[in-house]
Amino acid sequence: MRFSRTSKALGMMAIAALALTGCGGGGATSGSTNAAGNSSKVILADGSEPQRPLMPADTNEVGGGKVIELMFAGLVSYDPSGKPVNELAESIEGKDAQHYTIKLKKDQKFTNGEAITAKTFVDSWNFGAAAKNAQLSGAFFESIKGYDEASAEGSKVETMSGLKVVDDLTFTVELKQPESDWPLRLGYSAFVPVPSGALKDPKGFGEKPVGNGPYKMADGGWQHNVQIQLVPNPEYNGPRKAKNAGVTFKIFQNDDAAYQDLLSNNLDVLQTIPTSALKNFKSDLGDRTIDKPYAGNQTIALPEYLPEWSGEAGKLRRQAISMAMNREEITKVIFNGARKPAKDFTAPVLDGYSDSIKGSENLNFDAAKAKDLWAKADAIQKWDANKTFTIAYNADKGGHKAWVEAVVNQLKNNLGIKVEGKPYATFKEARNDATAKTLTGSIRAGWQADYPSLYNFLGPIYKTGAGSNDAQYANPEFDKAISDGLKASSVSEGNAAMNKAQEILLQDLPAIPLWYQVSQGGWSDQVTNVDYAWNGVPLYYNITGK
Amino acid sequence: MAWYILRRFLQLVPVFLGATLLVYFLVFSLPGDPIVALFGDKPVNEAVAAQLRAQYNLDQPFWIQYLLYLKSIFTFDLGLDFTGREIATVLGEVFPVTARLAVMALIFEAVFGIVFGLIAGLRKGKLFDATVLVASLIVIGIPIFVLGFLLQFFIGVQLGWAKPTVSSAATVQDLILPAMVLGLGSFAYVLRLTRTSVIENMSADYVRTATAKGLSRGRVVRVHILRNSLIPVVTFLGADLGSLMGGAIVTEGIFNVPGVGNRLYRAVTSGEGPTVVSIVTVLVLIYCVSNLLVDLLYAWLDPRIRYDS
Amino acid sequence: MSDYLSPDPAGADSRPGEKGAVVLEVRNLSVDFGVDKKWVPAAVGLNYEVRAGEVLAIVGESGSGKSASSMALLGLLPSNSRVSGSVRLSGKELLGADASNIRSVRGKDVAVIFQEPMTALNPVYTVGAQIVETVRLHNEVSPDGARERALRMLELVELPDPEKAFRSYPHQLSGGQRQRAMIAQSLSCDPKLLIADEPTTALDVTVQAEILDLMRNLRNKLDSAIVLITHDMGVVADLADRIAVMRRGLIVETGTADQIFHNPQHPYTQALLAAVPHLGQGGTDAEAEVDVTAALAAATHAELESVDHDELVRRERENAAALAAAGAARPVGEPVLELTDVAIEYPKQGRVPAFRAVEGANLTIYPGQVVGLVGESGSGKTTIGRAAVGLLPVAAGSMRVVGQDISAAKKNGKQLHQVRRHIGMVFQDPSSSLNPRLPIGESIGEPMYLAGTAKGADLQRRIEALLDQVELPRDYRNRYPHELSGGQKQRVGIARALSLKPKLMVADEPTSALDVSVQAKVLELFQNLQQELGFACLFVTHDLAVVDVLADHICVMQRGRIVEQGTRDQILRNPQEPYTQRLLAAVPLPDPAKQRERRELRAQLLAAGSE
Repeated sequence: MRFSRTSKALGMMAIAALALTGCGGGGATSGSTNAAGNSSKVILADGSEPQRPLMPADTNEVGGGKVIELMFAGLVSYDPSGKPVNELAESIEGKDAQHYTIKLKKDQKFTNGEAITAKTFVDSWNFGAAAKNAQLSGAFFESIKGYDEASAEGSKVETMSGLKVVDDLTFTVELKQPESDWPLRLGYSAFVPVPSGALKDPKGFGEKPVGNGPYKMADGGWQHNVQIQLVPNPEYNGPRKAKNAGVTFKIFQNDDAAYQDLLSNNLDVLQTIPTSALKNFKSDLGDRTIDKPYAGNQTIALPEYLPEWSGEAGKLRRQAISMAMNREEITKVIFNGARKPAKDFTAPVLDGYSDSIKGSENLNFDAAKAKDLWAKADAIQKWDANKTFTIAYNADKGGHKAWVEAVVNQLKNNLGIKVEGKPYATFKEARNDATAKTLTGSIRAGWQADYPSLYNFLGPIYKTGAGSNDAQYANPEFDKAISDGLKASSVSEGNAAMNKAQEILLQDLPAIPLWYQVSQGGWSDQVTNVDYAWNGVPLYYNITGK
Repeated sequence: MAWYILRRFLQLVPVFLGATLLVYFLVFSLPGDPIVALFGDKPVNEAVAAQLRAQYNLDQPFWIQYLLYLKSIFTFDLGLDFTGREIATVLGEVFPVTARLAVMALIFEAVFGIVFGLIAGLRKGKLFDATVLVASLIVIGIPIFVLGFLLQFFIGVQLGWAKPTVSSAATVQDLILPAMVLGLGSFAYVLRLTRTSVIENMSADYVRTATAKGLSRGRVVRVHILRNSLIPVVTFLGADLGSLMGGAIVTEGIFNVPGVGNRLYRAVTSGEGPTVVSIVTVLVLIYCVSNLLVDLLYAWLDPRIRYDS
Repeated sequence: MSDYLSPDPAGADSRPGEKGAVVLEVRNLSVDFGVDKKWVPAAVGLNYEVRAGEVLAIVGESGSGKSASSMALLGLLPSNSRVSGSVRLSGKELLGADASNIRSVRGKDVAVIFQEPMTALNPVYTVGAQIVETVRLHNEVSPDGARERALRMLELVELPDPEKAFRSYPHQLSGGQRQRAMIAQSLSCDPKLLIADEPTTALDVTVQAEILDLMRNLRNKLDSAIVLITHDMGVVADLADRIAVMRRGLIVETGTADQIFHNPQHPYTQALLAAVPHLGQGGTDAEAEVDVTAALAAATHAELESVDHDELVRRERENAAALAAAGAARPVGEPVLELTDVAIEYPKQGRVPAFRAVEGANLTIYPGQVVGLVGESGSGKTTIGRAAVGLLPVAAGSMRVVGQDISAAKKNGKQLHQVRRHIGMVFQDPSSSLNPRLPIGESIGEPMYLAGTAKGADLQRRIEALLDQVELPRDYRNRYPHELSGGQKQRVGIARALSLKPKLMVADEPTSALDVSVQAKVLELFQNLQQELGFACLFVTHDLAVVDVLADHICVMQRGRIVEQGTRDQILRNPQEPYTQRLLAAVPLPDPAKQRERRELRAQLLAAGSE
């Protein structure tokens, strides 16, 4: 999942500019291992105010997402390494990659006693998809047949034809087309069941949600802008049983305040160390830190609708840009090693990832070759020497300025062209131009996996007409390669096909992959057993007191 | 005097209308579509977006939106923020916290500012005066967020005398450190104002008369000098309350106080028009009322001022 | 007016020799101020004493050290001063006493009345509260008891409504009432010694007379010794028993009032007395001295006890004869300034309504005439002066200056520009009316330069000629104003006003800011210049005695209206309007005997007025 506010730490003002600090920091350190800790502690964690009422299908940002994950259990969930594990599902069987039969476990209930049946699932999914309910994450149901009718603007249709209830514990799903990794998606929060009360009064439900997950909301647990209190759900028996006495998300407006709280043990777990503390958090916290890659990356998207970036000349220029960037230097200096230079378009924690796909040399640093390629491109179509190549970014959150400036400098020096960073005041504005297809240069982009699959990094971004296709990349070859991969009969076959599709991308470079995200967090001396999941979120249910 | 007060209250009406219109217009003209931003980096689901726009009246032209908003105010229904909560409820949560913070900051700056300023003025040119002048310059010169961070770090983290951030209940005890930070800038100003006022009044004729009457120095200072010197200071403090309420954004951010500043900042960046306008309107009204109170206070303190002649 | 008291018929204000014990004994008092790391003496080796019931006046011009030495008695000097010598109050040494001792003396045994009652009283507390504060400080008394005493003191100082005054703030009282309140505060603890530092200088002349009355009555009733510090010889003549004359920090002469006034020994005293203008004395030798008392007595048909009846009749007859003899000089030529029914208004500003400063004024000045425009504060005399120069617009009526009607003239328009070539103006405060950045030669030459009447060498010659005329050395022309004394600066102002050879000179209180002796010289200069150059002059002032020196015609104003006008003889010998009479009666004469007569007359006038 891509986060709207990149509150994850990215390099900020390394005022030391490109001065090399010796602050070592490479190598991922993993979380502390289990000792049976004190399970009567309430964990104080940092959070942000959910942007929407807490309806699973309406939540697409991390503040609400963290809470939904802990409060609900869907068909499957993901283990720490990203593999799906059955929660409510007894079995999920697909005849071909297009028709699935899902069987549920018996006697599952919400915390208010309501039984969870197949109908519950079908009703919840229909609710999420229907346009009239205006659920932000509705697009996750798009593979299901009947989605288009239900989600069309102004549509009154409330059900998807592809969903059919067979009996209390069984329902079938028909997809619009074969998608071999569709079962992988089912752990995403949009697919969890919600009680019938939610469908009648989503707003009221959103204030006081009732779920079936490892935790439930304490009475009056959501103090807006202040905190969200979750207490363990004793009826939950799944793989993510709570090992502590509850989780309270303290809502912070400012990462630095959260860090100060962590230092004085007023906060137990800080998901992301703020950029201002990156240099010293390891020495401040000692071994109470974690440095783990997760399924996210950062790229620079180059719109194909700009004349100088399209066609053969455009392709050569993209490759030139990619090779003119010294990713190692930036990750070392600006991020203190808290990033890994990208080798492909996905992320290393995913099943099937490979760092040696054909064409990945295009992501290596080679200044001479870059100049060469640029000259070749000029021969075909001259680059106007007065034109400035801009890299757009939002200045309000995420601290992108530093690395963008570093990239700008590298390109300037290595290619000899005019390059500039183009800050947008708010994320909102930046997205506006991207969505309206009115970009005048490149824009920083990136992706956070919604669910751990290679396809998730490729399809939603680079397929022709895909929703997040900022570059407006349209290559029928690539589309075919992707859909072939979706038709694969096994996951590993599918992965191989996806990597083949990446070969095309590595030549065309509609976006230039920069690096993979690493989450860096810390915890207080009051807790132990802290580890992070594949998506960079701490596994709160495992944390115990000391 | 009653007429004067009534007149001032009537003046609040055009101020209110003008402020709401101006702020609404400003938020409205911010680039970027807030609904699109809600989707984050994800594809925008047009159907959903259209629904949301209709829900928040964002598909209407500016004037219609504004008039609908005004109508909602007069029916006391301020509308919803993006999380779906009543804005009125939101206001009811954040204003008391910021009010507590502002009042505490005011008390801090008043007490310390006046006491130190008085001593500095009485001992003009001596060590205390010089020290205090330099120190106040430094405090005024250092930006508030630097001061805030420093204090938070040293007192909150290193020494552990106070928690670095404010608890969810934002009690008076929690707010002591943030109030000090918030009041520091104005404290320096109050100090200098008091000092100047005291120095001016020290050489006034009536002080000589008071001394000639045989009053002890202490009584001359307390009764005669102080009362006259406080007039400009008190009026400044009254006006400051209004600006403390609205200007606590930085301090609230540093100490994570769940108050007006934080909420307003979030509303501005996500483009929640009605929330921004509601909060700013209340702030404007608070400012106007506190100015009125200051004027009344001024007339009460200084018998030479009369408003009605 | 309800606040007069009949004078003590036994003439208790001249009790020869019957004074009480010595209250204040000053021996060898010296006061120095530290300026630029050097000690500058303000008073050197003063010796004097005051007895109970006696008024000692310490007289001197500015810089004589009279205020400094008196403040030193109570330790009220600023911190950069040093005092030596001995000051004994009923035997107790005050200098060098410790703080609490001094404090118990202040307010209780020794009280001070200051010059400016508006600023000397705390503006944020009521008058009553401040008096109560004094009472409770020095006496063990309940709040109610203190209040009673305060009210009694307010009655004692003859305030019309003591209860109201008690509740009033200083700004709600008039100048005279404030000074009375100040006096009430000072007397509230029955002090043995009262120090009055220029108590009436800030007040109008009629109000001054009232306060002096009050102080005299109080002196009779109470037993306090009074030290009166002043520069006004008229006030001294009215009140003092004994006089000490100070000059540059030294006492040059002491004596009884009679001695000093009638037989001054020291040359400085003589010069000082000679310099004081007497109302009635006249400026030139050609003018006969006017016996104002007789004139007033005649005009009001008053009977005086202090003057023998026959004597009075004789004087009155002399007066009438002189009046008849003084022919009215025929005015010659076009009037230089002619006001017909003029009203002048200060325009509305915000919510403050427009204020009519002058109403229905009729005034004519012929070439060569000097008209003195007199009035107290708020009478509108300065307003007319300004309007004559075109600085204020005329709201009604017509104003003609040197033949041109400027009533409707555009401010700073061409017409005014031309008219101003023929007018010169001398201002009150020479320090602020001269540009401090211009050498005085340039200030003098500026009008000529701007009018284009002279340039270059010619201009320089004219500047030198003007400097000669005002009796300043020629090489002063390169000096800056701050290097000159007050009198010299005023001479420069006169020279500048004369530079365009004006037909009309408007002088707005030109000598009010000057010391007595300097004033005399400047007036003399002015007189000579007027006779020599023959310009007409509108001389605005509040000081009748000064007007008497210069004016042919006198015009009396009260509250925006011209109450009476006429030749000098007419006004002084036969004042018709009651206000004029009161005004004349209030001006103190620097001659104790004559002043006694005048006082009695005034009392009768007031009594007549109130019936």
